[in-house]
Amino acid sequence: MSSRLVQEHAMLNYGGVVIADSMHQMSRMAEVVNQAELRFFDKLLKPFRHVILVDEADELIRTENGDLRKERAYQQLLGSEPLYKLADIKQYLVKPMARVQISATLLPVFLRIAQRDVRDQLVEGAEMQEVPSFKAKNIFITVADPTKYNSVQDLKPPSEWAAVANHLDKVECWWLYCLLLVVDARQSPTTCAGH
Amino acid sequence: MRKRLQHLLLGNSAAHDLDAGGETGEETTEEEGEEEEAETMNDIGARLSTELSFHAEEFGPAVSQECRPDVDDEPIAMSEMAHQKTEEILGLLTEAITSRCHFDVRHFVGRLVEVVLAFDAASTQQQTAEMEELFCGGQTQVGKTAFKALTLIAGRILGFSTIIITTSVKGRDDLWFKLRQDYLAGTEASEYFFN
Repeated sequence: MSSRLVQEHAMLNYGGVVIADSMHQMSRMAEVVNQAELRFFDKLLKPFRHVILVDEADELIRTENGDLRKERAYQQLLGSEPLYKLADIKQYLVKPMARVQISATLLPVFLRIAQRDVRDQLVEGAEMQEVPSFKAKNIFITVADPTKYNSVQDLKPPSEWAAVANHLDKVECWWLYCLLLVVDARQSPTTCAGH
Repeated sequence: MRKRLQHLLLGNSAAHDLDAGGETGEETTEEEGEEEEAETMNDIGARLSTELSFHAEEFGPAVSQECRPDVDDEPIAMSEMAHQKTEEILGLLTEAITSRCHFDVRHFVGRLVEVVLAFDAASTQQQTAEMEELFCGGQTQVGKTAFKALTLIAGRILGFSTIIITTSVKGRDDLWFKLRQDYLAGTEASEYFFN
């Protein structure tokens, strides 16, 4: 693993760093990004810009509230949580311009729906396409052979999702399904009440 | 079951709103409950397909024409500056990368350019831009790594740093090696790419 200085060098020169999804490496990277942001602004008087790519993105979503230390480190890297636990001191959060979630499954899309902020927007009445994450232009599918193209219509029933993603139990799969059902119900309450 | 999930999802008040005008919560026996659950599950599966079909349609423009001949050839609206930057980046892509991309490269690079321009526009107005979320999917072994390589190359041109999070330390080393050897060889981005 490269030293902090090397990582900072990469950050300041519009380069790239690949890290493992361990708590230690993500926390350290969050510190490097904060340091780079300060130096960058001092030098060029413009905000530091960075993009985070998350490979096998469903790996990093473990609990709903993100209580695991690993998840917290990830949140620090995303600029959603402060780096240090300091009471009464407002810390500056460095947020990436974009997060690119990469996965062989579409689970990150559904897990993102299940997270509270998106869920609230949907329940409050936003259409799926209105939630920034779900603009179709932000979703990319790579296919080598069109005959093997799997679209969302090919998704397996929830019981099989559970086998694929072992952190989702049957109830959670149902829960995701039902979220979509609730979205549907909100659009036409009479069809919802019929079941 | 369904009602319980609605309550779980929405909280009591919102679920109550959904219930209003519909059926009252009748108690069912366990056997009836299971039957109902199975029926509802099939029903939900059908609904999910319908609910998400618009997404399947909208995936179209993101997938290359070569792979999806059924998709209309609609140009993606883009500002002149974004267009120029996109062309600049596309001009730098080597055969090693383009031959491995089984998605609409222009669209993906164009989105990265738009994200940067939107971030800059917000910064000049002293505002904080919302973090954009991009989702990249595809089966295993069809070249999802190309998304990472393109982001690294675009970062060097557009002036943003890239952080890639991957699973395990071995995965990190393998990915770093693969990107440098197979995708970034001969490009400037490889000089500023570390693990």
